[in-house]
Amino acid sequence: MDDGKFWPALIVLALAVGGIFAFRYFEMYDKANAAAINARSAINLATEALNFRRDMWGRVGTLIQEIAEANDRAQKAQAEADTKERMVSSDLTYLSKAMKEKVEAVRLEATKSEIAAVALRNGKTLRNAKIKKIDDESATFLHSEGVITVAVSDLPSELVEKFDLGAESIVRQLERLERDLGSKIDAPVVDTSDLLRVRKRIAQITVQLEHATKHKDKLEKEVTDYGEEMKKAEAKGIPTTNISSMRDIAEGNAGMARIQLRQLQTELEKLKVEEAALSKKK
Amino acid sequence: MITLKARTLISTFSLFILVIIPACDKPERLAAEAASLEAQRKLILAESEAYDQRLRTANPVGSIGDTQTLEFQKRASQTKATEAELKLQKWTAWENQLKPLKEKAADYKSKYP
Repeated sequence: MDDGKFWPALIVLALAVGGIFAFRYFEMYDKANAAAINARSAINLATEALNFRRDMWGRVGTLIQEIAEANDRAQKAQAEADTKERMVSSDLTYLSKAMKEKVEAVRLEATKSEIAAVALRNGKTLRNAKIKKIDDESATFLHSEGVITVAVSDLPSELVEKFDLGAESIVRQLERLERDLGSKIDAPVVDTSDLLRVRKRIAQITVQLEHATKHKDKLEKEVTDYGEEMKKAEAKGIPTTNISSMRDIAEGNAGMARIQLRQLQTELEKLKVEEAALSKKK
Repeated sequence: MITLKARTLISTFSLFILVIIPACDKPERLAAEAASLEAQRKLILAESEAYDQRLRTANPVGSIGDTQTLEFQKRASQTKATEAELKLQKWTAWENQLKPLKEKAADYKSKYP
Protein backbone atom coordinates (compact mmCIF):
# COMPACT_ATOMS: atom_id res chain seq x y z
CA MET A 1 0.00 0.00 0.00
CA ASP A 2 1.50 3.44 -0.94
CA ASP A 3 1.53 6.53 1.33
CA GLY A 4 -1.43 8.16 -0.45
CA LYS A 5 -3.80 5.32 0.48
CA PHE A 6 -2.41 4.37 3.92
CA TRP A 7 -2.58 7.80 5.60
CA PRO A 8 -6.27 8.71 4.93
CA ALA A 9 -7.29 5.30 6.34
CA LEU A 10 -5.13 5.92 9.39
CA ILE A 11 -6.68 9.39 9.84
CA VAL A 12 -10.20 7.92 9.66
CA LEU A 13 -9.22 5.22 12.17
CA ALA A 14 -7.65 7.76 14.53
CA LEU A 15 -10.76 10.00 14.37
CA ALA A 16 -13.06 7.00 14.91
CA VAL A 17 -11.05 5.80 17.92
CA GLY A 18 -10.91 9.37 19.25
CA GLY A 19 -14.65 9.79 18.67
CA ILE A 20 -15.47 6.55 20.50
CA PHE A 21 -13.25 7.58 23.39
CA ALA A 22 -14.86 11.02 23.47
CA PHE A 23 -18.40 9.57 23.38
CA ARG A 24 -17.60 7.05 26.09
CA TYR A 25 -15.95 9.75 28.12
CA PHE A 26 -18.92 12.11 27.98
CA GLU A 27 -21.39 9.30 28.69
CA MET A 28 -19.44 8.12 31.73
CA TYR A 29 -18.89 11.69 32.87
CA ASP A 30 -22.62 12.45 32.72
CA LYS A 31 -23.53 9.33 34.70
CA ALA A 32 -20.84 9.84 37.30
CA ASN A 33 -21.66 13.52 37.60
CA ALA A 34 -25.37 12.77 38.14
CA ALA A 35 -24.48 10.10 40.73
CA ALA A 36 -22.15 12.49 42.53
CA ILE A 37 -24.75 15.28 42.54
CA ASN A 38 -27.41 12.90 43.86
CA ALA A 39 -25.03 11.58 46.51
CA ARG A 40 -24.15 15.13 47.59
CA SER A 41 -27.81 16.08 47.74
CA ALA A 42 -28.66 12.90 49.69
CA ILE A 43 -25.81 13.49 52.10
CA ASN A 44 -26.96 17.08 52.65
CA LEU A 45 -30.47 15.86 53.46
CA ALA A 46 -29.12 13.15 55.77
CA THR A 47 -26.82 15.65 57.50
CA GLU A 48 -29.72 18.05 57.95
CA ALA A 49 -31.86 15.25 59.42
CA LEU A 50 -28.99 14.25 61.72
CA ASN A 51 -28.46 17.84 62.86
CA PHE A 52 -32.18 18.15 63.52
CA ARG A 53 -32.10 14.98 65.64
CA ARG A 54 -28.96 16.14 67.48
CA ASP A 55 -30.66 19.44 68.21
CA MET A 56 -33.81 17.58 69.32
CA TRP A 57 -31.77 15.30 71.53
CA GLY A 58 -30.12 18.35 73.09
CA ARG A 59 -33.54 19.85 73.85
CA VAL A 60 -35.01 16.53 74.99
CA GLY A 61 -31.94 15.88 77.15
CA THR A 62 -32.36 19.28 78.82
CA LEU A 63 -36.07 18.62 79.36
CA ILE A 64 -35.41 15.17 80.83
CA GLN A 65 -32.85 16.67 83.18
CA GLU A 66 -35.28 19.41 84.21
CA ILE A 67 -38.04 16.83 84.79
CA ALA A 68 -35.68 14.69 86.89
CA GLU A 69 -34.63 17.75 88.92
CA ALA A 70 -38.26 18.79 89.48
CA ASN A 71 -39.22 15.23 90.49
CA ASP A 72 -36.27 15.11 92.85
CA ARG A 73 -37.26 18.46 94.36
CA ALA A 74 -40.87 17.29 94.72
CA GLN A 75 -39.85 14.02 96.31
CA LYS A 76 -37.50 15.64 98.83
CA ALA A 77 -39.95 18.41 99.75
CA GLN A 78 -42.83 15.91 100.03
CA ALA A 79 -40.84 13.58 102.28
CA GLU A 80 -39.72 16.47 104.49
CA ALA A 81 -43.24 17.92 104.61
CA ASP A 82 -44.69 14.51 105.55
CA THR A 83 -42.16 14.13 108.36
CA LYS A 84 -42.93 17.62 109.66
CA GLU A 85 -46.68 16.98 109.38
CA ARG A 86 -46.42 13.80 111.46
CA MET A 87 -44.12 15.47 114.00
CA VAL A 88 -46.15 18.65 114.41
CA SER A 89 -49.49 16.81 114.58
CA SER A 90 -48.34 14.30 117.17
CA ASP A 91 -46.38 16.88 119.19
CA LEU A 92 -49.35 19.23 119.26
CA THR A 93 -51.83 16.52 120.28
CA TYR A 94 -49.52 15.20 122.98
CA LEU A 95 -48.52 18.65 124.25
CA SER A 96 -52.10 19.92 124.39
CA LYS A 97 -53.30 16.88 126.36
CA ALA A 98 -50.30 16.83 128.70
CA MET A 99 -50.52 20.57 129.34
CA LYS A 100 -54.25 20.40 130.15
CA GLU A 101 -53.63 17.57 132.62
CA LYS A 102 -50.73 19.43 134.19
CA VAL A 103 -52.70 22.70 134.60
CA GLU A 104 -55.64 20.78 136.04
CA ALA A 105 -53.31 19.11 138.54
CA VAL A 106 -51.75 22.47 139.53
CA ARG A 107 -55.20 24.03 139.93
CA LEU A 108 -56.44 21.05 141.99
CA GLU A 109 -53.36 21.18 144.20
CA ALA A 110 -53.94 24.91 144.79
CA THR A 111 -57.44 24.32 146.19
CA LYS A 112 -55.90 22.23 148.96
CA SER A 113 -53.81 25.02 150.46
CA GLU A 114 -54.37 28.48 151.89
CA ILE A 115 -52.62 31.66 150.77
CA ALA A 116 -51.85 34.22 153.50
CA ALA A 117 -52.41 37.26 151.29
CA VAL A 118 -53.45 37.71 147.66
CA ALA A 119 -52.79 41.24 146.38
CA LEU A 120 -55.28 41.88 143.57
CA ARG A 121 -54.54 44.31 140.75
CA ASN A 122 -57.46 46.50 141.74
CA GLY A 123 -55.63 47.23 145.05
CA LYS A 124 -57.67 44.91 147.23
CA THR A 125 -55.92 42.24 149.32
CA LEU A 126 -57.49 38.94 150.20
CA ARG A 127 -56.38 37.55 153.57
CA ASN A 128 -56.23 33.83 154.39
CA ALA A 129 -57.54 33.05 150.95
CA LYS A 130 -58.43 29.58 149.91
CA ILE A 131 -59.17 28.86 146.29
CA LYS A 132 -62.56 27.24 145.78
CA LYS A 133 -62.83 27.17 142.04
CA ILE A 134 -60.71 28.11 139.06
CA ASP A 135 -61.90 28.40 135.49
CA ASP A 136 -60.29 30.00 132.44
CA GLU A 137 -61.79 33.47 133.08
CA SER A 138 -61.89 33.76 136.89
CA ALA A 139 -60.97 32.34 140.28
CA THR A 140 -63.28 32.07 143.33
CA PHE A 141 -61.69 32.61 146.72
CA LEU A 142 -62.94 31.96 150.20
CA HIS A 143 -61.15 34.58 152.35
CA SER A 144 -61.39 36.29 155.74
CA GLU A 145 -64.15 38.60 154.53
CA GLY A 146 -66.22 36.07 152.63
CA VAL A 147 -66.32 34.66 149.12
CA ILE A 148 -65.19 36.53 146.03
CA THR A 149 -64.92 35.70 142.35
CA VAL A 150 -62.04 37.57 140.81
CA ALA A 151 -61.71 38.08 137.06
CA VAL A 152 -58.44 37.09 135.47
CA SER A 153 -57.67 40.75 134.76
CA ASP A 154 -57.62 41.47 138.52
CA LEU A 155 -55.61 38.45 139.55
CA PRO A 156 -51.88 38.88 140.31
CA SER A 157 -49.64 37.84 137.43
CA GLU A 158 -48.00 34.98 139.37
CA LEU A 159 -51.44 33.32 139.87
CA VAL A 160 -52.40 33.95 136.22
CA GLU A 161 -49.20 32.26 135.20
CA LYS A 162 -49.47 29.45 137.76
CA PHE A 163 -53.08 28.54 136.86
CA ASP A 164 -52.48 29.20 133.16
CA LEU A 165 -55.38 31.62 132.88
CA GLY A 166 -56.56 34.15 130.29
CA ALA A 167 -56.69 34.31 126.54
CA GLU A 168 -52.93 33.98 126.19
CA SER A 169 -52.61 30.91 128.40
CA ILE A 170 -50.49 28.07 127.05
CA VAL A 171 -53.47 25.68 126.91
CA ARG A 172 -55.60 28.22 125.01
CA GLN A 173 -52.78 28.92 122.55
CA LEU A 174 -52.35 25.20 121.99
CA GLU A 175 -56.13 24.80 121.49
CA ARG A 176 -56.14 27.66 118.97
CA LEU A 177 -53.25 26.10 117.12
CA GLU A 178 -55.04 22.71 117.06
CA ARG A 179 -58.21 24.39 115.77
CA ASP A 180 -56.35 26.34 113.09
CA LEU A 181 -54.42 23.27 112.05
CA GLY A 182 -57.62 21.21 111.87
CA SER A 183 -59.33 23.77 109.63
CA LYS A 184 -56.36 24.37 107.36
CA ILE A 185 -54.86 20.93 107.23
CA ASP A 186 -57.13 19.71 104.46
CA ALA A 187 -57.20 23.00 102.55
CA PRO A 188 -55.80 22.45 99.06
CA VAL A 189 -52.45 24.06 98.51
CA VAL A 190 -53.24 24.96 94.93
CA ASP A 191 -56.24 27.00 93.98
CA THR A 192 -58.46 24.95 91.65
CA SER A 193 -60.73 27.76 90.58
CA ASP A 194 -61.94 28.28 87.03
CA LEU A 195 -59.45 31.10 86.64
CA LEU A 196 -56.57 28.79 87.43
CA ARG A 197 -57.93 26.17 85.03
CA VAL A 198 -58.11 28.81 82.25
CA ARG A 199 -54.61 30.06 83.06
CA LYS A 200 -53.23 26.53 82.95
CA ARG A 201 -54.86 26.00 79.56
CA ILE A 202 -53.42 29.33 78.33
CA ALA A 203 -49.96 28.17 79.41
CA GLN A 204 -50.45 24.88 77.54
CA ILE A 205 -51.70 26.63 74.38
CA THR A 206 -48.76 29.06 74.54
CA VAL A 207 -46.31 26.17 74.55
CA GLN A 208 -48.23 24.45 71.73
CA LEU A 209 -48.21 27.70 69.74
CA GLU A 210 -44.47 28.06 70.16
CA HIS A 211 -43.94 24.54 68.84
CA ALA A 212 -46.49 24.90 66.04
CA THR A 213 -44.79 28.13 64.87
CA LYS A 214 -41.37 26.47 64.82
CA HIS A 215 -42.82 23.46 63.01
CA LYS A 216 -44.53 25.66 60.39
CA ASP A 217 -41.33 27.71 59.85
CA LYS A 218 -39.34 24.52 59.43
CA LEU A 219 -41.77 23.14 56.84
CA GLU A 220 -41.87 26.43 54.95
CA LYS A 221 -38.06 26.46 54.90
CA GLU A 222 -38.13 22.91 53.54
CA VAL A 223 -40.43 24.05 50.71
CA THR A 224 -38.04 26.91 49.85
CA ASP A 225 -35.01 24.60 50.01
CA TYR A 226 -36.66 22.06 47.69
CA GLY A 227 -37.52 24.91 45.29
CA GLU A 228 -33.89 26.01 45.18
CA GLU A 229 -32.72 22.44 44.79
CA MET A 230 -35.12 22.01 41.86
CA LYS A 231 -33.77 25.15 40.17
CA LYS A 232 -30.20 23.90 40.56
CA ALA A 233 -31.12 20.45 39.20
CA GLU A 234 -32.97 21.98 36.25
CA ALA A 235 -29.92 24.12 35.46
CA LYS A 236 -27.75 20.98 35.44
CA GLY A 237 -30.32 19.03 33.42
CA ILE A 238 -30.95 16.47 36.19
CA PRO A 239 -34.49 15.00 36.52
CA THR A 240 -36.47 16.86 39.20
CA THR A 241 -39.46 14.50 39.67
CA ASN A 242 -38.36 13.26 43.11
CA ILE A 243 -37.53 16.72 44.43
CA SER A 244 -40.80 18.04 43.06
CA SER A 245 -42.80 15.30 44.85
CA MET A 246 -40.94 15.99 48.08
CA ARG A 247 -41.61 19.71 47.72
CA ASP A 248 -45.33 19.00 47.20
CA ILE A 249 -45.45 16.88 50.36
CA ALA A 250 -43.62 19.58 52.34
CA GLU A 251 -46.01 22.21 50.92
CA GLY A 252 -49.01 20.11 52.03
CA ASN A 253 -47.53 19.66 55.51
CA ALA A 254 -46.78 23.39 55.76
CA GLY A 255 -50.41 24.13 54.86
CA MET A 256 -51.63 21.79 57.61
CA ALA A 257 -49.22 23.42 60.08
CA ARG A 258 -50.57 26.89 59.14
CA ILE A 259 -54.16 25.70 59.76
CA GLN A 260 -53.18 24.20 63.13
CA LEU A 261 -51.42 27.43 64.09
CA ARG A 262 -54.51 29.51 63.24
CA GLN A 263 -56.71 27.15 65.31
CA LEU A 264 -54.39 27.49 68.30
CA GLN A 265 -54.29 31.28 67.94
CA THR A 266 -58.12 31.40 67.89
CA GLU A 267 -58.34 29.17 70.98
CA LEU A 268 -55.78 31.33 72.78
CA GLU A 269 -57.78 34.49 71.99
CA LYS A 270 -60.96 32.85 73.35
CA LEU A 271 -59.17 31.75 76.54
CA LYS A 272 -57.75 35.24 77.07
CA VAL A 273 -61.27 36.70 76.84
CA GLU A 274 -62.48 34.06 79.34
CA GLU A 275 -59.57 34.85 81.65
CA ALA A 276 -60.34 38.59 81.54
CA ALA A 277 -64.02 37.88 82.36
CA LEU A 278 -63.09 35.58 85.27
CA SER A 279 -60.55 38.11 86.60
CA LYS A 280 -63.24 40.82 86.66
CA LYS A 281 -65.67 38.49 88.43
CA LYS A 282 -63.02 37.72 91.04
CA MET B 1 11.91 8.65 5.95
CA ILE B 2 8.65 9.79 7.68
CA THR B 3 6.92 12.62 5.88
CA LEU B 4 5.61 15.80 7.55
CA LYS B 5 2.01 14.57 7.02
CA ALA B 6 2.78 11.29 8.78
CA ARG B 7 4.42 13.10 11.71
CA THR B 8 1.37 15.37 12.04
CA LEU B 9 -1.00 12.41 12.05
CA ILE B 10 1.04 10.44 14.57
CA SER B 11 1.19 13.53 16.78
CA THR B 12 -2.60 14.04 16.52
CA PHE B 13 -3.28 10.41 17.30
CA SER B 14 -0.86 10.50 20.26
CA LEU B 15 -2.55 13.64 21.49
CA PHE B 16 -5.93 11.85 21.48
CA ILE B 17 -4.49 8.99 23.46
CA LEU B 18 -2.60 11.23 25.88
CA VAL B 19 -5.45 13.65 26.56
CA ILE B 20 -8.61 11.57 26.35
CA ILE B 21 -7.50 8.40 28.12
CA PRO B 22 -6.29 10.19 31.28
CA ALA B 23 -9.37 12.41 31.11
CA CYS B 24 -11.54 9.26 31.14
CA ASP B 25 -10.25 8.79 34.64
CA LYS B 26 -12.40 11.73 35.81
CA PRO B 27 -15.74 9.87 35.70
CA GLU B 28 -14.14 7.07 37.68
CA ARG B 29 -13.02 9.53 40.29
CA LEU B 30 -16.51 11.02 40.36
CA ALA B 31 -18.03 7.54 40.76
CA ALA B 32 -15.59 6.80 43.58
CA GLU B 33 -16.54 10.07 45.22
CA ALA B 34 -20.24 9.16 44.88
CA ALA B 35 -19.56 5.76 46.47
CA SER B 36 -17.64 7.36 49.29
CA LEU B 37 -20.46 9.88 49.84
CA GLU B 38 -22.98 7.03 49.85
CA ALA B 39 -20.95 5.21 52.53
CA GLN B 40 -20.77 8.45 54.48
CA ARG B 41 -24.56 8.88 54.11
CA LYS B 42 -25.13 5.38 55.48
CA LEU B 43 -23.04 6.23 58.53
CA ILE B 44 -25.02 9.46 59.02
CA LEU B 45 -28.30 7.55 58.67
CA ALA B 46 -27.13 5.00 61.24
CA GLU B 47 -26.24 7.79 63.66
CA SER B 48 -29.55 9.45 62.93
CA GLU B 49 -31.37 6.17 63.66
CA ALA B 50 -29.49 5.88 66.96
CA TYR B 51 -30.74 9.37 67.90
CA ASP B 52 -34.25 8.31 66.82
CA GLN B 53 -34.08 5.35 69.18
CA ARG B 54 -32.92 7.54 72.05
CA LEU B 55 -35.63 10.10 71.32
CA ARG B 56 -38.31 7.40 71.12
CA THR B 57 -37.13 5.91 74.42
CA ALA B 58 -37.08 9.31 76.10
CA ASN B 59 -40.41 10.39 74.67
CA PRO B 60 -42.50 7.30 73.89
CA VAL B 61 -45.75 9.25 73.63
CA GLY B 62 -44.78 12.15 71.38
CA SER B 63 -43.46 11.86 67.85
CA ILE B 64 -39.89 12.77 66.97
CA GLY B 65 -39.56 16.52 66.75
CA ASP B 66 -42.39 17.02 69.21
CA THR B 67 -41.30 17.97 72.72
CA GLN B 68 -44.76 19.09 73.86
CA THR B 69 -45.36 15.95 75.90
CA LEU B 70 -42.08 16.43 77.71
CA GLU B 71 -42.81 20.15 78.19
CA PHE B 72 -46.13 19.24 79.82
CA GLN B 73 -44.43 16.58 81.89
CA LYS B 74 -41.86 19.17 82.98
CA ARG B 75 -44.56 21.65 83.94
CA ALA B 76 -46.49 18.95 85.80
CA SER B 77 -43.34 17.95 87.71
CA GLN B 78 -42.53 21.57 88.48
CA THR B 79 -46.10 22.16 89.71
CA LYS B 80 -45.84 19.04 91.86
CA ALA B 81 -42.51 20.27 93.26
CA THR B 82 -43.99 23.71 93.99
CA GLU B 83 -46.97 22.12 95.73
CA ALA B 84 -44.69 19.95 97.84
CA GLU B 85 -42.53 22.96 98.68
CA LEU B 86 -45.62 24.96 99.67
CA LYS B 87 -46.74 22.08 101.87
CA LEU B 88 -43.30 22.02 103.45
CA GLN B 89 -43.43 25.78 104.02
CA LYS B 90 -46.86 25.41 105.63
CA TRP B 91 -45.68 22.70 108.01
CA THR B 92 -42.49 24.63 108.78
CA ALA B 93 -44.70 27.59 109.73
CA TRP B 94 -46.79 25.33 112.00
CA GLU B 95 -43.61 23.95 113.50
CA ASN B 96 -42.36 27.48 114.16
CA GLN B 97 -45.63 28.34 115.86
CA LEU B 98 -45.48 25.23 118.02
CA LYS B 99 -41.84 25.65 119.02
CA PRO B 100 -42.31 28.61 121.49
CA LEU B 101 -45.36 26.85 122.98
CA LYS B 102 -43.30 23.74 123.57
CA GLU B 103 -40.68 25.85 125.34
CA LYS B 104 -43.36 27.59 127.44
CA ALA B 105 -44.91 24.22 128.37
CA ALA B 106 -41.47 22.85 129.34
CA ASP B 107 -40.83 25.95 131.49
CA TYR B 108 -44.26 25.59 133.13
CA LYS B 109 -43.65 21.92 133.91
CA SER B 110 -40.25 22.65 135.44
CA LYS B 111 -41.64 25.60 137.43
CA TYR B 112 -44.68 23.69 138.74
CA PRO B 113 -43.48 20.10 138.94
